[in-house]
Amino acid sequence: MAIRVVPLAPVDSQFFGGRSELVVEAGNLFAVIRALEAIAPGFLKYAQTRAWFSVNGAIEGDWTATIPPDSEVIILPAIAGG
Amino acid sequence: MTEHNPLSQFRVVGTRPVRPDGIDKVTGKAIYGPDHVAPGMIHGAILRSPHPHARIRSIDTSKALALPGVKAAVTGQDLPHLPGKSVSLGEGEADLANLSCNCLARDKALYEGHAVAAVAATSASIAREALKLITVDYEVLPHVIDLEDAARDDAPILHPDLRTQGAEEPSDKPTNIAFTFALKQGDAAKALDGAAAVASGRFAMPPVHQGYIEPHACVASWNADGQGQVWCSSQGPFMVRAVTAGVLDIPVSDVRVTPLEIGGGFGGKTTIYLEPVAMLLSRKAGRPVRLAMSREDVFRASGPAPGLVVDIRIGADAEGNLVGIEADMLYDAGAFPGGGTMLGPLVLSNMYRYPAVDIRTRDAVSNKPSVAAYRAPAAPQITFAIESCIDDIAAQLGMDPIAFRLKNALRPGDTSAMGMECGEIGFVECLDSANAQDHLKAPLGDNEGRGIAAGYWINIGGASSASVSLAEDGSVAVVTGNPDIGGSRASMAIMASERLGVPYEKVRPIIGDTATIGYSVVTGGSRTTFAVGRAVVQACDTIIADMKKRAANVWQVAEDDVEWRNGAVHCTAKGNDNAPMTITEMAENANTTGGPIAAEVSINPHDSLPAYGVHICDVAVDPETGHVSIKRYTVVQDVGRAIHPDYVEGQMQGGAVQGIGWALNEAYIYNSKGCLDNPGFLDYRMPVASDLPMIDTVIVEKPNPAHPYGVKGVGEVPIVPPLAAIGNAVKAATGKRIRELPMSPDRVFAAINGGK
Amino acid sequence: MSKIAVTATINGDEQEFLCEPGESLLDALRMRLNLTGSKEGCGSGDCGACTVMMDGRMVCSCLVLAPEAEGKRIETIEGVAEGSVLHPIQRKFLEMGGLQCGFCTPGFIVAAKALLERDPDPSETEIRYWLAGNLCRCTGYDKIIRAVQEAAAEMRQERVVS
Repeated sequence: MAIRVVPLAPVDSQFFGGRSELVVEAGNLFAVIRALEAIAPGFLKYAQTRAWFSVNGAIEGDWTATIPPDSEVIILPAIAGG
Repeated sequence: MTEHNPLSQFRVVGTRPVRPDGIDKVTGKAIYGPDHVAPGMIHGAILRSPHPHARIRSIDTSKALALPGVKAAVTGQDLPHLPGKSVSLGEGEADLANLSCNCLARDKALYEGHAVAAVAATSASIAREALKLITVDYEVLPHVIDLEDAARDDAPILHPDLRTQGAEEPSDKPTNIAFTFALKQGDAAKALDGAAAVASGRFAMPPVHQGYIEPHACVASWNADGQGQVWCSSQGPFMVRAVTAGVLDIPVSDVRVTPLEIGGGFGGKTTIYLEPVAMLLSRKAGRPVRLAMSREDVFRASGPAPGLVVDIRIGADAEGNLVGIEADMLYDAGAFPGGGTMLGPLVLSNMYRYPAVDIRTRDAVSNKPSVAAYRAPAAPQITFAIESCIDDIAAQLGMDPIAFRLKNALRPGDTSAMGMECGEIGFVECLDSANAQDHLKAPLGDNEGRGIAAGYWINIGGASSASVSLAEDGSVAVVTGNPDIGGSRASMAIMASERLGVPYEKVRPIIGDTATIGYSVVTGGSRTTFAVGRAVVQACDTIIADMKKRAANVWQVAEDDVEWRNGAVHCTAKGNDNAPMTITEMAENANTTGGPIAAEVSINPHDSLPAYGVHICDVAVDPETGHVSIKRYTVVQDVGRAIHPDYVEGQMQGGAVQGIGWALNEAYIYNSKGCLDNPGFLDYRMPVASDLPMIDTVIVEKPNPAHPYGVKGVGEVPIVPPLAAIGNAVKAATGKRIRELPMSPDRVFAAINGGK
Repeated sequence: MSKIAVTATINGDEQEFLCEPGESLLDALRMRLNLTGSKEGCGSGDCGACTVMMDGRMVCSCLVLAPEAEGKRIETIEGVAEGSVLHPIQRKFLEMGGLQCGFCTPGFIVAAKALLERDPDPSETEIRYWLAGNLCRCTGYDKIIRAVQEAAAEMRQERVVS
């Protein structure tokens, strides 16, 4: 299932040579991140601690949850509060 | 005036019972960070750099160690060197090398007040004497304090290895710019050039401090077998465990952190300063060691909120539709990279609909203390600029400021510029409610003006654990790992009481240490009542399911024939006259129906919803002195649902007043030597009771579908609107737009007397 | 360093303690007598968290030297309740949400009690100015002021009744 991945800065330049969009085959975030790790080694570690993943507009914290085909995944830097 | 009209569907939710930890806190019995005493405890003290930027050539502690009563001395060389290592905090992460260097400087002191060495002695006064006997050989380096100076190419460099993260064209040149991020959609410049009304300008504000009244303090005990214990006040014992173990490079299982009562945090206690140092001293001395900051230490060395300089331009067409926004933000990071750079764009993109967006944000290190989170981090600063411009555009178009905001406000179903879909947000409801307030119709006197401003904050969820167990008499223990910073014990008890149908007084909410309850991220991000509360309710549901199963076994009926209602199991099987069993009876019979009744639930929700607020403020400006006084203030906020309205209103009022202080008085003031000139409450002037009127509150409740009672999170957003609300009120009173904070008498006086 | 022996009446009981010549009364209360209800927010008399009564006068105990307490009558937050019966100000702080973190609360309660003993019917402005030496960062003062007003009203009522 093709998933459109949109890495926001700084992830785009840090890992994906400035590409604003990638397409990977995946059924959940684990598979998305595995695919991205294959493209950009080191991304997995970043993803574990520093990224949030928005699936079709909503933050998804469970990487095992099924992602529907043709979904859009945005990679955001993790945000904390006060 | 307080306005809150709760839906009557709940028995306890929405009521105002006395907090369970209340009596201890009004009688002086509660144990806060500086109060804990461990057997055999000795006292530590920290030597701090008098220079804002200096290389440390050597440190000699031998004379200090020779002083009778001194048991240990440490320097940065005693901490493991951890380049490139980081630790996850559940939400975000901490760079361990920087954190370690902030606890004790390694090669360089990066700000005045930076810790360089520490001692422990049998009394606090001996420890202080010992500090005078430590010799530090400094090579003083050129410093940079001003944010814009720090970002220049020729600025003194703090970290020779630092390169800008996120840069489009990576450079190998050392820099103080730690991070950059840009977001572009459409052609903002073109849209703004053709706009009917445009507001623009450069807005600037210095760092401010969270100003919690309790200085940081801890006691640490590290035994020869490697096992350590820390007692401290913080916003999260698991955070303290992770970073303390991380900085010391030891397993987390060797650090047990017991949270003490916390005397305010506001984000400033989501990191650590003392704990690894106290651990090292304890290991060397073989005794528990207390380390505590003075107020001066707190100002000089604990995290302020970042200053900001932003060039901004926002425009609308003649009908009042926003057409675009440009913003170029530069935030302070303080001495180390890692300010909340992403948060500015987040706020910019989550208030109004903009067809075209062109924003850039950067953060720069300088010789000031490393910034820390402060209540809706980065949001008040940028919102000051946004909401000032929005007000000016409405004025140019001759539109009512609330009507103009309503026309452009994000609504459920909209997608923000950062690609996040808006769920059941309540921005429009807040604007509508504000519009209906009598406050708007009250007459104003001479030199008085009224301003309104809105604010957004994301509110987070995150990893949360809770356990619920029934005692033999049916009373309920609720354990969480989240410090109670402003009444969360009460809200946890209310939710458990509501769910289980037991009286509020029979619920005992407890804050566990890191060895007694599953992992939880900090009390922060406005997350506790939402995320931890949801864990509490789910744990209640788990024991309810268990009790239903037990009742089915007792009655020998199918589980489907058992119903939970009003704190009791009821048998609904046809022709069955089993009397209901209350939770108390179930608890009394627990051991004959399968054993104790208890459950622990750990969750990681991310479906929290943002908070929006709208503030209305009347000011009087003294034309003789430029002094601005707050005459009347109303806070309108969507909270999803108020579990304990007193503490919800308290958050709204307290946040608004912190914002008032930020707008009018508070600022870090540095002298030409790069030293902080106002490290005390006399000169860093936070609002006092006589500065203020009552703060009226209007609770709007648009429930969050992702929380069993509709909670959205309350704590942070109220600090966001005041800066602009006051700026807009001052503009209404004087005709002058002030773009720099604080709006102190001299600045306001200059503005009304022909300044810009 | 030789220590000084001090005898003072603390919350109605005669107490003796040894202190250093330069030690603050606040440190002596907290460290020598284990009365940690009085808090140090600043150590410079600017926050009021250490407020106690000394011979009936409100003082910042961080600005009083411990040896000065010799022969004096000291009342701290620990002595405000009578046994387990809360003072009306304490009760109103609880009933009206007059505290969040609670760190400044002891100082506010001692100061408010001093006010109401002096003036049983202060105006809102008088309350605000009397308490202007006590910093609270959590509440914005609204609920604190209301709690003091309510406590004053209740105490006046009690006086009429008795």
